[in-house]
Amino acid sequence: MSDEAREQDQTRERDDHSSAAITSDPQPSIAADNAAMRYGLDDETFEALRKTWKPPASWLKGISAVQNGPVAKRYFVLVFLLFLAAGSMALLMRIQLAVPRNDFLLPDQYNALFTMHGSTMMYLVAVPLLAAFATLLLPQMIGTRDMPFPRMTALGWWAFLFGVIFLYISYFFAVPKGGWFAYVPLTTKEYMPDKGMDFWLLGLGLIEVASLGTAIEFIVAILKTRAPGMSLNRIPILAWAVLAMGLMMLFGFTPLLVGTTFLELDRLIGTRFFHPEFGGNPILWQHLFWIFGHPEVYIQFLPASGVISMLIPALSRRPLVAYTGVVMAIMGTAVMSFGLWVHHMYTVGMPLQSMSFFTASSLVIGVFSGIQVFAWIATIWGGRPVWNTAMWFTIGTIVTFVAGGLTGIMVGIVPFDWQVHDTYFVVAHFHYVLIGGVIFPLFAAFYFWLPKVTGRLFSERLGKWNFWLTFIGFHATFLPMHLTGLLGMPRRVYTYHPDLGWDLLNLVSTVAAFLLGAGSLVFVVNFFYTIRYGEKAGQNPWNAGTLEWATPMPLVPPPFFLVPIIRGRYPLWDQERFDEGDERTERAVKGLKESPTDYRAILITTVADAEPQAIVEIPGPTYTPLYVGLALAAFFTGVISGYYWIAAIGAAATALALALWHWPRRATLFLDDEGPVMLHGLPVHTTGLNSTGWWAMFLIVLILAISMATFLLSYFFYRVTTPVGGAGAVVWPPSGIELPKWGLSSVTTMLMLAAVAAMGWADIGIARGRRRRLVIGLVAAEVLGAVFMVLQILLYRDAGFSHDENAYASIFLMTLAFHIAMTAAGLLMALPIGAQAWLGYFNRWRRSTVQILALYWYFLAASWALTFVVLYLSPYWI
Amino acid sequence: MNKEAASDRSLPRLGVLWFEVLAGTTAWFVHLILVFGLSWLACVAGWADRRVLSISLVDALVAVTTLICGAVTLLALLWAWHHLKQYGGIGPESQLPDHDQPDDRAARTRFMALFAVYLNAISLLAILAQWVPAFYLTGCD
Repeated sequence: MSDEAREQDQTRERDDHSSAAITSDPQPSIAADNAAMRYGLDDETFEALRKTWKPPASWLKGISAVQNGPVAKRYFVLVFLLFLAAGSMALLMRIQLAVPRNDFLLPDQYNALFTMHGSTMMYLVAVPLLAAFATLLLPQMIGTRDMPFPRMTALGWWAFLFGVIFLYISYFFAVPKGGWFAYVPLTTKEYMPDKGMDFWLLGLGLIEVASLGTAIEFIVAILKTRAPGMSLNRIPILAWAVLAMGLMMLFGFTPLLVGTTFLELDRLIGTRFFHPEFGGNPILWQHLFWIFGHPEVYIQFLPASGVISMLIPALSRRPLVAYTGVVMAIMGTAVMSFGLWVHHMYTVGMPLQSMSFFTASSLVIGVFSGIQVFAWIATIWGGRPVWNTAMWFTIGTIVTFVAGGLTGIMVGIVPFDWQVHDTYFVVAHFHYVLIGGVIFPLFAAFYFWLPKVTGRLFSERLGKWNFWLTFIGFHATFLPMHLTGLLGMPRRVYTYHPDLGWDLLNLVSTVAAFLLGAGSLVFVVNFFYTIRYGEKAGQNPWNAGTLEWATPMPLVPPPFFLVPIIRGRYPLWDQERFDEGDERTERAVKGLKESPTDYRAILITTVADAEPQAIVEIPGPTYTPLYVGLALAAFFTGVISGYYWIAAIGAAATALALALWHWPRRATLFLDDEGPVMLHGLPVHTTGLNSTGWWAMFLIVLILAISMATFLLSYFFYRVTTPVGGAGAVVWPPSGIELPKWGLSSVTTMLMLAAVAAMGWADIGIARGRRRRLVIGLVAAEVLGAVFMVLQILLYRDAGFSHDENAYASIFLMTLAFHIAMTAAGLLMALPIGAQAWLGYFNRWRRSTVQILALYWYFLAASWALTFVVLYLSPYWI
Repeated sequence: MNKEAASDRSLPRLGVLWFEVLAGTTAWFVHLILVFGLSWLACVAGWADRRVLSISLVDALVAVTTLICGAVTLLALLWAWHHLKQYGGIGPESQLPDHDQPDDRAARTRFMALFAVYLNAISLLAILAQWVPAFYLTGCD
């Protein structure tokens, strides 16, 4: 049967039992079974499983919960409050701009408001809200009982919370005024000497750490914990989008983290990264910021588009058209979004040819968005859409995002951008993209999925009010801004002259902004109305086909006692039973349903075909993530306040808490030297690519590699942009600084190689079951590594220049310092693992921790080799 | 021999499919960074006016970069196309299994091949589009 004919058949079949009412509950199979939540389990096993998976009930113990559900709820509450705060700031700005020469706000207040509005929306609302949905839904969609690293989920929340506190506490001291982009030199200490920017930078640092942890969690969950049978061609679109978001966060947030570190170092200890009079370069900030900043738009849009690609099939009652094309568009956008950053910098003075390469990629990326939009329209066209509030917000998304995308193509073209750069045309463009492409889908997502949390359906009447007020308010606010921009009104001005032709347009925008705000208020009213009076949602209120609607309503952990075996993209439409597969898979899922009952266990599967590989333990409630979050906050507080002893205590406490975090429970070590320990036909220990821990460390190494690459590319950036000397030759290192001495650094390099060789020897040794060799190898690596670090410190101390001498000295010494910090982390990691090796906690089947440590040390050696070549050798020939 | 075992034997290696999936976008990114870097560096370092056989050195390097990256992408595209035809082709007339057919690995292979064909085609378009400015914009203006 052809694809098309099959899809038509499926549509007809669904219509047969779903056209009466969308809130009917006719879904057979897993949903009905799961509502009873038993699957033939006897009472004793059922109660034991419930007890093991139940989150802590009391308020105090509740903060130790690490499961996706409770953590997602915390995100929803805080982030929505931040959304309302950011919206209120926008309204204050609109009041100021309603009429010319208004004095409602002072210039400084206006600057503070647009900084906090932009920062809140970009860093604290859009991505975290999408991450909250992903945290809530991902395990249910991909058919796992929980995320692979629940403590990481919880740590992400705590780091995010402390980051928010840092950013907002600045209101009591000095509000940052540098915009969400924090361009230098405006944000350097010379122009913003108060602490506002420090709060902003360090708060952002914590939020970036939280985001990177969350990204790792999402990526590993999607790659390694999908339900059996959910091969790459059956992954729900939202999971693909979250995978893209996670990968983009790794590649995008890391350069920003390095950039913000440079800026904070300039402010705190007087490095010269962005001081032109010392060889620094403000343009470097723009590169580092926009390498993050442009993908950031897609980090927000892609999961939002994933939401739309989930809603449309469910509400149109047919499968998504062009699934493969949509997945390709998502992943293609994720990659290509990293090739557009220069189109934010067309006015900084780069050669025209260089900029035009980015115009080309800016045009091509539109193809990907086009594929998604046509797939959505075709799906609605070929289905039988249900016109509820979620669908209206979906239509609003398509209309608004397409308009914003078209103006995006316009500003991607150099001559046009030169005309409208830094005008309200750009403000209109990115609000069309971000509100149309992110906030509208988020509203749709609330209407569609919040019943999973509340168990009740939103009021449709209030929902329609919510939609139309928001939609009309939005367009009436931002459409006129295209005109004010074309008429020349610049961004970020707190007032304007009355005779420029902008008065009426601004007044319209302001009045409409209040309509937009009213739309959000209706949503709040609808929410509280719903949780009290809303209609009960039933098991699957939309007759959707994806797996999250098979889990208990409202959600009670674990989402699955029986981990389902998947045979289609829309399992609830395609399958009658969820426990049929090959013999090995059936044995695993049916066995896992029965045991273990005394600890939380999840199924690990292969990346491409989702075939069962192992059954592993995941942690239950614990305060450790809170301790790590508090320790990190103490570290940042020490840095910001200048009390470095507090920072030192924070760093030590972080290391200690992480050591506790990774210490295994003796009861679940399952050591058996006769062979691998098996449970339901699968091993309980994993190694190499099978191990979720290995993947997490691989991603951490990737983050560090990107960081190191950013340091080294910054070094070459300074090298290339250093002014030509008197005789026409570039002076590098700058005059007054000698060429680096490579003698001691060569010895240091040899030591690093020796240390990593010892680590490799230990790693291979335990793979052959030799515990003694493991201990000797780890001790040797630790000792050699410690000597290596001491020599690195000597290299730093005896460099012959200080970090505040010029940009060369800053980048040279900070690169060195970064590597010293990574070495210290490697040594600290090796200590508890060495202790575990001493206690005999490893054998040839339980050794992934050693592999993970070895992977880190291999990276340490490779990154040092590169650092040595760039810092110590390259000045001799480049 | 059962059907699944027979099918697995003829399936392309997973590494080959990952190459097909990743090659185009990687080549595109390398191309963008190299052509941008070359063009910018030539102006900053002052060798934008150098010529080789009466052709601008920058243009020549951009052309070579384009041809190499384009060739890698084309190779991945054609390879993926070959696998796609082997496992069902692109259209609805496909007689071979798709996502809900029993042969799961063949369906996943077809998905990856189709994904790679689409993505490599757009990557190739992007690489060629990025070459266009070199034809009419030169120097450091």
